[in-house]
Amino acid sequence: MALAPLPTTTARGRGFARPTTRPRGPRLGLLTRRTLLYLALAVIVVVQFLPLIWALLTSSMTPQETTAVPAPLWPAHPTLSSYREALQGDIGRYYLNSIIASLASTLVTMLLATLAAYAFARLRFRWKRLALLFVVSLSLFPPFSQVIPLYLILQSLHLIGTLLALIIPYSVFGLPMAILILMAFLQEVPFEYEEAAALDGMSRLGAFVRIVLPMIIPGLFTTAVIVFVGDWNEYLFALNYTTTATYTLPVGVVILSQTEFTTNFGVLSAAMVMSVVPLVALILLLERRIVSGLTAGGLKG
Amino acid sequence: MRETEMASDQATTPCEQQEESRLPFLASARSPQRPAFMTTIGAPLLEARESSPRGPLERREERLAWLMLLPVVLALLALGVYPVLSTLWFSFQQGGSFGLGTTSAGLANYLRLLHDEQFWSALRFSLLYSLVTVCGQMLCGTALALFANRRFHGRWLARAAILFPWAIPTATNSVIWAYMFNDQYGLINSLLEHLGLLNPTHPIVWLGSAQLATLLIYVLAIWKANSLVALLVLAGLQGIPEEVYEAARVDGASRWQILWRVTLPLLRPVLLVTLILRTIESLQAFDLISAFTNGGPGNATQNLGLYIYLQIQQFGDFGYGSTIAVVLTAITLLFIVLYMRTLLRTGTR
Repeated sequence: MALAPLPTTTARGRGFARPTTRPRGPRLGLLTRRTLLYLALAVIVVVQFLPLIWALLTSSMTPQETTAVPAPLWPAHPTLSSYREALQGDIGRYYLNSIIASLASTLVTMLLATLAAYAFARLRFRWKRLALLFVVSLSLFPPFSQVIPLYLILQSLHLIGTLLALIIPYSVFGLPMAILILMAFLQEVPFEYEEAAALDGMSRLGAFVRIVLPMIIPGLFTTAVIVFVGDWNEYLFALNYTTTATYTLPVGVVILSQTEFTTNFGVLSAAMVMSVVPLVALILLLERRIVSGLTAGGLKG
Repeated sequence: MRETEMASDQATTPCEQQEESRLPFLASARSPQRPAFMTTIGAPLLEARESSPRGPLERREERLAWLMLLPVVLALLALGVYPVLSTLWFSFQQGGSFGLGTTSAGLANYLRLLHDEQFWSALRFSLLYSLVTVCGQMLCGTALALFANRRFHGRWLARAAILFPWAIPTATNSVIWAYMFNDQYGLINSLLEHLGLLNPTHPIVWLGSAQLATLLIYVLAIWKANSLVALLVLAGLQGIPEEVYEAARVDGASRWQILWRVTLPLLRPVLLVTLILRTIESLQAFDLISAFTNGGPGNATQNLGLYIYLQIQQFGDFGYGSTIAVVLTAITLLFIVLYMRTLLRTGTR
């Protein structure tokens, strides 16, 4: 590696007096250090992915295997029937509900947040800091402080039990995080572009739409992924504002697991895998961008 | 000062000052100019500048800004602020499902709290849960971040592994864990039996014991939110300029000394902000516990969130539910104020 390695032999004595330009330790020492490092990596990967591994194994077991005592650790006859069953049954509908609700609210959130983020990041106006403080602090309030009144509002609009009952709150509560992340991406765009556009006679709004927006397309995509994950995983509102027809996947999975003792574990595991796999694919694809995006948003939830 | 800024100073337009405000961790390289404590969270908040507009051009800019903000501000007022105020108002109303707002209850709901044994045990659980899990998350998350910040082949795998628990739906994840710890069909007991550590006729009933269930909830919560701490700390680590380490190494510091005397002190602001954010989040825990034990066995793992949900769903008592929600919000508010103050203080140095 071209990077300066850390000294592999550590100074034995306390204090900073010891010179360190000594040659590195023996080759063998380096090797075992590497081995330890990769061993640690392996442990971390297994621990972090444990539920996914378990769900993958269980979802490919036959119903007899999933209810065998003691549970087999490995499927003897791997099968995909659980997935078929899950997609054909209720879980398929919950999956579709999740997709519709998350996609629609992500779209609305992004639309509104992009406008606001541009104003915060690029325009000068009075009470900007106060407005931003308002947005940020609101995102930290517990959702429990809103869940009852929102229920009554949605009920008076006859929306409880429809997907709109999820799309409306999701769209709004995703805003603060999206605005913060988008601001960070917008602040990366050099101001000269807008200046040049202004010299060419373009309006601020025109420069924003035609010059700045295309430049932050990767940022927009990253933000959308993070917002989508938030909506996809939401539970409290989904639990309170849905009926059996509009359960989202997390709510459906939990309710199935808590009410039916004869539940087919294979089907439930298949549902879990299906709810996770799209996200895992996105993570592996966008790992670095998501890290920077999440950090900018201050990592809520 | 640095040359780049000096150069741009000469051509400063009113708007150009904004250009300085960028987030250092988003810059592709480690930026040596930026001290570590200027990194990460809340930077947009701190660096948003404002000025009173004078000319017609500035006034137009201000009008455009508020126009662009209007939908967001209205939406947040309607679905964010108004419900919070309603909850406060409901807490003074008589309970009963759908009969809200008809009769005032005065302070009755709050007086009821004082003698409600279940409320106090839920409050105790919530606070203890926050204390234990946040400490665990800070420790494990920081360790993960330090690991993922090292340079080695396959580091992307470490980072993806850090991200994974964040992406998996909390509720779904809890169901998976509940099955892993199922006393009959669970992987854990089965594993122990295969290893000969457990007699199959006497399985461990993990979720049937208050202590074991609580312990598992702690483990699960730490596992789940590790990633969030690790991400913030990772960003903080990348804000520390390489020269600082080089200087320490030249002075003969060992790895541990560098960690304790250089890295961690420089990370302190980031760690503090992360700690507060995690505490706020953990006080609001609901889906994790609800899907894992649903408060059981008995009420052993019931926290404030679950207790509010119980009031709403089972008893339809919106008034009393709101009262508990107000208490939870008040506790959270303490930490929100702390968060804002910390942000502003670390930002202004």
